[in-house]
Amino acid sequence: MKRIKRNNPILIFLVVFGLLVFLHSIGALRPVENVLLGIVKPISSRFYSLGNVFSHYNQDRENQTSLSNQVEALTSEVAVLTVANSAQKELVEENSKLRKQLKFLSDNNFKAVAAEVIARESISEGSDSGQDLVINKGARDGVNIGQGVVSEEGVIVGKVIEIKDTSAKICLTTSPECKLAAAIQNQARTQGITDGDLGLTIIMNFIPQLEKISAGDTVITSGLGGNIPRGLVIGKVIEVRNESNEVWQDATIEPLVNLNNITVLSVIIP
Amino acid sequence: MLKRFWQISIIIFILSALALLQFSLLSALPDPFRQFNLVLTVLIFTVFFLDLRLALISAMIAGFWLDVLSFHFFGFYLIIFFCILLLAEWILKNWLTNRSLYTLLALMIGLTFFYNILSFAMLYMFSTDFTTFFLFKSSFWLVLVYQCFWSSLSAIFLFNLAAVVTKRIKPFFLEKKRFM
Repeated sequence: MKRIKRNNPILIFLVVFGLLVFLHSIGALRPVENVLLGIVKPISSRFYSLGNVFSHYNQDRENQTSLSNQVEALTSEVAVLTVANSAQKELVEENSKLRKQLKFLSDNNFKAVAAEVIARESISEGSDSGQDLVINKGARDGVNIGQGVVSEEGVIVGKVIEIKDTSAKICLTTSPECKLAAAIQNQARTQGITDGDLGLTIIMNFIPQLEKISAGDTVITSGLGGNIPRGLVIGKVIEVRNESNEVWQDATIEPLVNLNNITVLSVIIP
Repeated sequence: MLKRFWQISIIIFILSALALLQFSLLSALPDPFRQFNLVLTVLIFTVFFLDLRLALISAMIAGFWLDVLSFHFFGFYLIIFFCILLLAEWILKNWLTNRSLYTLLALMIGLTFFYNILSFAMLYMFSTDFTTFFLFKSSFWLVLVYQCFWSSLSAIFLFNLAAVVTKRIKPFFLEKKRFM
């Protein structure tokens, strides 16, 4: 019979793995995890900003269809280079974003927790159908599942779907299965549920045929059934699909902010 | 003893940095750049050029970090990396026994495929959304193509880099003596 060596690396790995999973499941590993997360969060945030700068730059390059776009791209390139070379300027920008957010929050009497994005996580490992954001605030900071998340402009960009002690996962409004109770600012104040569509736009389904909706109508949160207050802007209607033989009609909504460039946001505490 | 301590510290630092780069920096990049699996590439490279023991230590460190940082269930990355390395070792011992660029390319692409199958399957098993099986989703195949592209590219780069640094992968020829 073959004897298993004591210092067999596979055996050692399995023992350590079992121990880690056991300690994690009973919560004994949590203090260690929190300390480690606390240490790496600022670094993660910087890494994410760096990646985002590149992403932003790349996105701008793809959209160079006209001269004005080229000018814009060059302007942003200059901005990107300036930001990259000067940590101070980045801090100034971040500060102004936080001020904007603070102004929005104080104007609306919202209690909120400001957070930084530290990573993006795909819904299904590497999927392009939608992405979630990971922020550096969690249960310890008062963040809870179902709470709304707004951008610096005060536009709702998603909601909290998972939490850890010191971090939380947010689904973006454009991601599939990220549902929000919404209302259209038309005469009938049409209510419905919004859902993300391929990570690009938002769809509002099950709107009765008799309701009159038109492109350009603003869609806001309805405040029903959850932790998200009423009146946060989701986006604008860009297309309405209604077939005469259907019971329902649906609307395509465009978010008002670019969800790919979010680095700072606020979680609204109800 | 002190040398060993420093060696382990450096390995922990490098692998932690790689895991952090994978989690925060690469995830923020647009497609196809964000599909580059840095940690997986380094692990395959380690088992190919160095040994299984070091690769398993690396997998333990990087896997632990990714499990702590990510929102997948704890042990997700640890178990995937473990399976990948075991498969790599088995392939290297039984099938791809020489150390050529083609071997590394085949290993990288094969293991990238296996990594994706395994990770998607595990996520599918623990998911509540059973609407479409992952093999029938276009996103799965698109990710696979991107990852295979990056794996091939990194294999070529790393192999040539290693060829400069070490003599281990240089071919040798037996010289035939000519008898008069």
